[in-house]
Amino acid sequence: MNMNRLPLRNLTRRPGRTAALAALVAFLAMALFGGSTVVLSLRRGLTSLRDRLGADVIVVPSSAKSKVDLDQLYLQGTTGYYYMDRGVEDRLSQIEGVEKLSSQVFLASLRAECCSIPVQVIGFDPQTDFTVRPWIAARLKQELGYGEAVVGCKVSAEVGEDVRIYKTNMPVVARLDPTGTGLDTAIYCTTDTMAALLEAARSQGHDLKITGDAHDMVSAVYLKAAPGTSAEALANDINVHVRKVEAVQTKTMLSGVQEGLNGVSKAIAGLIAAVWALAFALLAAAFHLLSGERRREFAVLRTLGLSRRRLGRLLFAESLLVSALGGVAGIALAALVIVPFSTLIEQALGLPFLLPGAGVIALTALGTLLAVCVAGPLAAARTAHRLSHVDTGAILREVG
Amino acid sequence: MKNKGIPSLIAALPGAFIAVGVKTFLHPCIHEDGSAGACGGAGQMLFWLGIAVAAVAAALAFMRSTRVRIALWAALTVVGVVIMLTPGVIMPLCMMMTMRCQTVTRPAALVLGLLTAVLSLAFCAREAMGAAKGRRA
Repeated sequence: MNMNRLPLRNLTRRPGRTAALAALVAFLAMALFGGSTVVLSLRRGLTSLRDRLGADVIVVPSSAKSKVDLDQLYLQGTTGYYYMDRGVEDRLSQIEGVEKLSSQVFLASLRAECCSIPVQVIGFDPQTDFTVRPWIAARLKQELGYGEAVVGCKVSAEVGEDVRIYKTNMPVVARLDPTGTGLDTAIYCTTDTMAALLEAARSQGHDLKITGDAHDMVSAVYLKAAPGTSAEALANDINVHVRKVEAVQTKTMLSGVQEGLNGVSKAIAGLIAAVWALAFALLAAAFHLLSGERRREFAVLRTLGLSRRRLGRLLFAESLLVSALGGVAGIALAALVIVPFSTLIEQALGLPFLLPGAGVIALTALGTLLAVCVAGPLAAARTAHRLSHVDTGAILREVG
Repeated sequence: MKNKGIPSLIAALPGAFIAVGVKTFLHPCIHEDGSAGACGGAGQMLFWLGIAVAAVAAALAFMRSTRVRIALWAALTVVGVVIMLTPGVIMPLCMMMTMRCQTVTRPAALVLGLLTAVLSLAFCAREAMGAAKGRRA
């Protein structure tokens, strides 16, 4: 008999026992790989959101407060629609400490046109914009033209296709990279295109609560504070001196997200620790219980001339094989849940969630596999020591 | 082949899960007025594919001809792949990736279709190897 194949034959001859041990290890792997991937995705989402926030302060009409949670403005898929007169730009530009400003116009499509829920359309001014254009530029080399649209990565319209908003076909010229936030579900166009869309919506009897020319309406003004001016002071100044508007600091939005992320990370770390402690103890107990069942088998192997060291190595090899099998199964199961259901996880957590790249996921999987391949043999170490020191004669005499 | 019932039961489970799921907890988008979304067709197709998988897998428990069994397992493998491709590739879904059909129905079909394909392929290979062994003996 080839002794090198003995561990594998021991495992295949007892499929039930092997499957039970592998399931325990799979549980360890699932917890570690799944938890790590979720935390990495949340961190990547926050970094992406931080990179995309070009403005220090966002100014919206006071009425917007009742429509959206201002602290969650960027995270919400639907920012709603609310309007104020473009004259607010002039009033804001006179406030001390404003380095640059640019306005945006929001509109929600009718749900029946493409989806079961309205799609958010965001119009920005290409002449003044400093928040949307930098990341559109990564995907679109020319200027965004009249009537054209750029879509977030979670709007499933490909470049060259049309999106239809208020019976107006808009050709898609670019798709943006994911941010893990509500920005991924929006459609972007210029303010000129947006004015046409607003007119189209009005002509179709949609009450947008706008009076006057659609070109004179804005939904939000994005401000960059001048060097030396704090965003907090600027927001306070605006809230005191400009009527009927609400100024929100983007930093407070980020700190809310950061707090949420810290809370989720701690909960996941606690869960991983608890699962590992429990599963490791169960694994050690399972190996210990099996040692009773396998005492005679080991005694026979000893009488056949196997050294204590070889016996220890046999059990070590078995536990390593079981760990590798369970580890691969656990990682595959966790990946099958996390990767396809990532958008659902993002919605459930309410935090920016951006899956890491394939390389990082592969490294996390490899790290998890290494960890379980160390944990499995460690859990079996005491049993291996005990079995390799069995009193062969006494055991073989026990059952006649 | 000694045991025909257990592989059939195992392979029938994902199919039954899809068929029951798309009518209950895995259903695609439904408008507020109760009408189906743009993804309604994908839901219907998944339902019938799930029924087909469950029925064929159940029928396999009573089939005796090895050739027919191998052919049916191979066909189920293909159906598994079709299930994976139904939402979004073969049948259109809603435009927004944040909608129910994109976040729940599509990933569930992907996972359950993959499970159907992998299990059917494994049982097909097992059956073919068993037949080859029988011929050698």
